[in-house]
Amino acid sequence: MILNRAILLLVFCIAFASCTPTYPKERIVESVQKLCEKEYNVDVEVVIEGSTMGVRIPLEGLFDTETLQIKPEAFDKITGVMLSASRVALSSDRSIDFYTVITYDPKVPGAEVVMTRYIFDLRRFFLGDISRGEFAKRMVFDVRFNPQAIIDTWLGDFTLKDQSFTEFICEQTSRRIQDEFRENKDLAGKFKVIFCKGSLDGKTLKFVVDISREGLPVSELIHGKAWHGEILEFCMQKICYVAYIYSFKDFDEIEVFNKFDNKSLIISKDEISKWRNRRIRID
Amino acid sequence: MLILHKRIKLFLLDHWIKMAIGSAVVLLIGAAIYGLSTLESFYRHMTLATLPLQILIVAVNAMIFVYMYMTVFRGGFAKLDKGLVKGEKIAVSFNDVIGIDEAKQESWEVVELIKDRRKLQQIGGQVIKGILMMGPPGCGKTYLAKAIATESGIPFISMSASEFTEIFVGVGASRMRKLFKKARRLAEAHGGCIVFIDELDAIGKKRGYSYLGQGQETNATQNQLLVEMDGLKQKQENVIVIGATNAPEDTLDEAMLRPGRFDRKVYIDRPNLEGRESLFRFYLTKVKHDEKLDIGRLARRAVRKTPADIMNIVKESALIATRNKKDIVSLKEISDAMDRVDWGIKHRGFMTPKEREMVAYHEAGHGVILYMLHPADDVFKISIISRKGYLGATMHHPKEELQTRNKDAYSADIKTSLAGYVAEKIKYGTTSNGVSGDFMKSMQQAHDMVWRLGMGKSGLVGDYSIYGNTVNSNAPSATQLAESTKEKLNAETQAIMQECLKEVEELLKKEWNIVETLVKELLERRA
Repeated sequence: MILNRAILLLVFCIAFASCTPTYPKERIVESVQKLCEKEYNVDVEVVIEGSTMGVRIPLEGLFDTETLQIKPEAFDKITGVMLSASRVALSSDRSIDFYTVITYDPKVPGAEVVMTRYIFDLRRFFLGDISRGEFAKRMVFDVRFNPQAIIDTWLGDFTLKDQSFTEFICEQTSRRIQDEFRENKDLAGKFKVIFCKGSLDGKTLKFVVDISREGLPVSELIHGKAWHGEILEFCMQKICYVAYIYSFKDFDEIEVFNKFDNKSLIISKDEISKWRNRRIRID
Repeated sequence: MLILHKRIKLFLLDHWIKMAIGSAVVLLIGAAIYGLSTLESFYRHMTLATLPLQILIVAVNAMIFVYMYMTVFRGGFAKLDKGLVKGEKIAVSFNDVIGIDEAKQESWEVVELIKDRRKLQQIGGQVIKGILMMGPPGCGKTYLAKAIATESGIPFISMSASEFTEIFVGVGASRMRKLFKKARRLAEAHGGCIVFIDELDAIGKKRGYSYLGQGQETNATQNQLLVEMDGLKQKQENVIVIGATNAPEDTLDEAMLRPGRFDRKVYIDRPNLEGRESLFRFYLTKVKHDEKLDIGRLARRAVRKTPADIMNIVKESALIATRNKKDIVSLKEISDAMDRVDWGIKHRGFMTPKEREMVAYHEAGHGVILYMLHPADDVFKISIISRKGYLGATMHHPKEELQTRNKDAYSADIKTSLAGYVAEKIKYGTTSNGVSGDFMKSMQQAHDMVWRLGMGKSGLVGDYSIYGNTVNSNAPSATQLAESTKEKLNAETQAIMQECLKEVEELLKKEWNIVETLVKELLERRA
């Protein structure tokens, strides 16, 4: 009886102790910086804008000059910084929805590697709710040229735009579409993806793509209809899937527009589930 | 202070597993708290959030393990599932032991010796280690053991000897070791402990040695008992073993009966007349009965009845009274109960009228001869109602409680047995197979008179039945008995039978009117 009470008391103590955040909101910036320095020996700049935490890492020799790929040792440091940012974001009383890690090479001004994560995805991953593969796909990864970054570097400034959930959804979907055309064994090498971008236009979730079939004669490229529909339908599937996994419903319809042939596919929100369950066809 | 120290020591010995588990739990929880405190708050939350699920998984695993363990191993073959019974909780005092006064007196001495153990040791006396209670079943051996435990006020562990017997050699011995280990620890804490082993003959019979390994398990168990009772041990604790058995003393192993093991032998026989009176008086107080009941008469009728029999008779009589819609138990109910206990349930309408008449003559013959010739027994009841495989019965009981039987009593028994045959022969000129039991009994008695008891007229004296006795290994072989002696003994046996037969024939012919009257009564009453 006494032992039971003692155990109960201890459990309560643990429960109350767990309520205290490890990284209070007042020291969140310093916490990330300290962690990165202590654990990975990296000096980072940290900015919080709204519910987005930005971490900028200057890394000399970020890219391999021959392959233009990110060097493995640079990638390890980026991963470490991302882990530090994750730890702080998860164990803080500050409401943070996204964190973005921007890596740049001071010797290559304007070239940036941007990685953005949704904190809720992190929580679900740690609790085993989503797989490692799906977790990787949910990260928004981009290598871009940003002129603003050149100015910021000169000024020693770090400006960050607060990430909205819609933007995150659109960027992730665009990324997934591009990756799929590049990595899927049935699609790789058959299609040419020039462009893919999404946004919420009023109540329409609109995705503009520029995708064409590779290796076909010009006449077939222009007049062949079969593959046109396939591209639109494939893109639509990806968009609907991402909207579904995030329970994103802040739209009335989804439109996919292929700039290559000026064809588009539109589906209303009510029809999505029927279409996904193959109860209706769209032409 | 010493006892308190011993009790604390015993408590620690008893509960060390629990205490070790408790300490381990506290340490693990402390380590868990420390571990959690070093985690970041998110991981702490996550760990605590998944804790109920983890506990559930561990609990399910534990349940599966326990189930498998219990199913497959059943806690091990040598598990001793015997709990302690505290002496005072048995609540059987010496006042409750009735009808076996001599055994009670001997047992009381034992109780006093247990109580005054220290005084006895100061004088230099040896502590009693074992008491063997012997006697027929139902005489109160177990009851007396309970009374000893209550009066001495020390812990009491009761086991049946059959609980030690298993097909696996060594299991019984292992249980015996565990039993005594437990008893010694209790004795250390409480100043003494009684181990009661019922039906001791299951492990206490003379040890046999076989090349085929027969009886190895019993031998091993008995050996362990012998060692535990008087083996070489560092410390002698006040553990008293009380054994109870129905088996004759000479069938038990000699090593077990020697002083230092079962030092005292208490023979608990059937109660005598006074004992039976006390028992009837005691058990009748538990039922509503006729106050005019002659308890002495009941006790005289219940010769050779055990306390358990008497309890059963009173219980049965209450049932009969209830069935007959009577408010109290009277002599009739007790009489019916005795018949029922002795002879079983009545089977009316079982025989044809002719058969019934023949049985009536047969039983009337027995009854008349018994009444007229028997020096020791009285006719109690004659019945032609079939019970328990008998078509009729002539019930008799001794006039007084005699411990010996003389030649006249034997002869009278033979005559009584032969009377049924003679009555049938006089009436019908032929006889039935109903005489077989009578012949067997009378022949056995005539044989015993001549072969064993020297009651023949030939002058041959001695027990000739020892020739060829397979039980006694020192007995002479059957071939050593001369054929002429055998012939003489057998002729003498037949002579006794013929003599008795002749006397019965003469008497029954002379008193045939009585037989006829008795038969008429039996048939009319269908008694």
